[in-house]
Amino acid sequence: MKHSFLILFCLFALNSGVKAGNYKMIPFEQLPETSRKFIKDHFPDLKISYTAKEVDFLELSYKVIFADGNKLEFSRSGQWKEIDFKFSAIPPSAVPQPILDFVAQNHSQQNVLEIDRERWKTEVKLSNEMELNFDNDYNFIGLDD
Amino acid sequence: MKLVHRITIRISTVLLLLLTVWASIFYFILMDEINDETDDSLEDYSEQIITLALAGRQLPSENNGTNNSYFIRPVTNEYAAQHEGFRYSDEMVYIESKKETEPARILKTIFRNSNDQFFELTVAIPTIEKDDLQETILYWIIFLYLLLLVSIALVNFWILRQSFRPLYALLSWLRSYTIGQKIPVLSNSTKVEEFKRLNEAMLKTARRNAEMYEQQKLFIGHASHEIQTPLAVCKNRLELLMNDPELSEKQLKEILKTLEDLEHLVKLNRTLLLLTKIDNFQFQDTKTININDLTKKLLDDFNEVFAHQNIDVNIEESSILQPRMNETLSNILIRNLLKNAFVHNQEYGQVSVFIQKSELIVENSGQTRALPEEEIFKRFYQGSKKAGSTGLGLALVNSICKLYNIKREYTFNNDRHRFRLVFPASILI
Amino acid sequence: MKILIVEDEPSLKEIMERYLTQERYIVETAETYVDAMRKMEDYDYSCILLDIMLPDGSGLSLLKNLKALNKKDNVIIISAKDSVDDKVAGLELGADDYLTKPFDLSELNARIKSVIRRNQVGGQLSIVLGNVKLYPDKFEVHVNETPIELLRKEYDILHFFMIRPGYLVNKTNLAESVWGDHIDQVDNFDFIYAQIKNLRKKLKEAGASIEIKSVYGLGYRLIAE
Repeated sequence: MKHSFLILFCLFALNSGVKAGNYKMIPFEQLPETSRKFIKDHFPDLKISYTAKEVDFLELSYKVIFADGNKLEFSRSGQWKEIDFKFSAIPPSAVPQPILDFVAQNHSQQNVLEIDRERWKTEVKLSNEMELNFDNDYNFIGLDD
Repeated sequence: MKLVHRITIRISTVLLLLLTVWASIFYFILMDEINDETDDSLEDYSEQIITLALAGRQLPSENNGTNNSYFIRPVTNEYAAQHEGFRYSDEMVYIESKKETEPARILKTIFRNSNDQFFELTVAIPTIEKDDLQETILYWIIFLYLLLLVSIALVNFWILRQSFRPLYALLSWLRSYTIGQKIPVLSNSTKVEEFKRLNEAMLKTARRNAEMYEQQKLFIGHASHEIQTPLAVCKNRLELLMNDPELSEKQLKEILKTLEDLEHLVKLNRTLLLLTKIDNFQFQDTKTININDLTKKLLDDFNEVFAHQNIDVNIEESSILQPRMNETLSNILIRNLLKNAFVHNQEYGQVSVFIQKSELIVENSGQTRALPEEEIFKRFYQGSKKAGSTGLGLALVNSICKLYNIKREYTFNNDRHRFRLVFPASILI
Repeated sequence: MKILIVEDEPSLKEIMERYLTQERYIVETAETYVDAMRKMEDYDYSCILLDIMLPDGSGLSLLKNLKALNKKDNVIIISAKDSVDDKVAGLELGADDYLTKPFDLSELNARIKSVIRRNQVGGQLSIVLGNVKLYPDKFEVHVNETPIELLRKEYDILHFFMIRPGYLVNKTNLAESVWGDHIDQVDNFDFIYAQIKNLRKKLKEAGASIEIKSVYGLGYRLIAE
């Protein structure tokens, strides 16, 4: 009986321990190397408002908010997960080449505002609110409903 | 306590503990998740407002129907340096739209704009709904917990009872089998290996027991039979020896005593042989016996033999008792019953016999305490040792009663030992 | 009178032989089927006591052979088997009587006398001692050819003594034979004494030449004058 309460308590303590630092601001230098390189390569002139680390149960991700309201999200390894530039447009250098090609070919007047890499597909949002779906090799699958 | 009940109670007890732990953990994790979600949405809300503010876009109106509220104020660089970038807290906030103060979850975020100016955004979400949710979840968990517990216990009980069916069949078979009788058929088909083996083992044991019982019975029969002639020869030798004129009186008396002991042995042996014969159904031929006449004739003999004891004998006949029995056995039955009443009596005692349509009752005075009913009908039971007693008289009564399904009873009332025989309708005329 | 005992059990054979010799019979014995057959072929006997179970054959087939030889010997079958079948088979084959082991020697003697007498021409079935005659078939007792009145128990006692003349009889044996099994746990034999007293009186009044004498502390003995 005593034992089971102890186990219960430990589990609970562990769980809340993980939750305590759910969101945390971190200095830019604490971002993974890959992420920092990505930012320096593609957004060298942008000022950063803050950099945060998000710890979910087993997941770790990073967020960078630029002073112009746009933002980036990185995975644990530093690979970008989401590029959200809805207040301006994503600099073309940051957009994967196949997507860039596809947009230039099919939607030449449009800018890419958001790219969201999910588990099974990549979602691309254009300046005309259109949403395009690609597979993970950036082959066009279809339009979002 | 039945096995099924015991197992069910044990499993239920263990489950009660396990499920209690499980339900508690589940509740707390769920609560934690709810808090987490609240914080998540606060963070989303905060980020949304910050990005809009930074981009210089229109901020959402305060009265958007969500009761959420936010507030942005500029802060100094020192303030920004001293405080955490994200700060959560639980506070009471005044909600404009409701004009009320309510508990809320607060997130304060410090950010800076492109001019390196610091701002602090405070967002608040009321937590009343969260409390309601927690309460509802708690009730449901308790309800589901009880439901699960009861259904597991019931299912368990049912499954166990079904599974143990062959065991109960075997037990009732065992109960139906009495040694010395034919082994009943065991129809207890089962696919369970353990029960199959148990069935086989029980059958084997029953057969072996029956065989041993049969052998023992045969042995007693044969032994008694073989002993007869040597005993008779011994007796005859002593009788011849007694007529030797050269014997002294002392020697004669010694021989006489030996002869008496021998006589006792002969009687014992004869009775054992008789018991064996009764148990082997060797008294087949039957005729109608008038128990009244038989009893009266035997009572006359006993009266004569026990005259010196001055026993008061009376007989009450309310009807004629006429069963169909073997003549020898009926004689042995009544004689032993009556003999018992006389032998274990006292001087100036009483023997009363009551004969009814289907009952014979023999009552006698004697020692003033009850005898153990189940013991007295066993072989060689002797309450107090009597010279010359074989201790087999009531065992004979018992065997004959068993043979004819006669119900026998012993009771002790008012200092009277009472033996009652109830004859079954099947043998009554 | 010559008697042949066919019995394989040595102790029983020996005691029977001794007793019957003492009773003034001429006794011969046989232990096997072959032995018995030879003796039966060669001699005539007043009575043959025949055990059914012999090591080398059945007493019943001996009996068959005897009848085939057209012999007139009396035969009493002795068997340990208390079986009705054996009894019927024996009697059908021409045996005169049947005795089941274990038996009393006096009983054996009485049976022998009975079968011998039965087969004498005009012989009455009676036990005679002095001037007293007892007819077992009719339950009658005559003294000097005059019948005397005896009660059932008195008759039984006299019969018991008549087949054991001169022998010491103990009370237990007498009581059990006359009153049956139920006296086995009795330590007071006054009831026997009362009966014997009456019997003596009746015998004396009738002028019988026999007397039942008490042997102090041991029992009784029937004496013929």
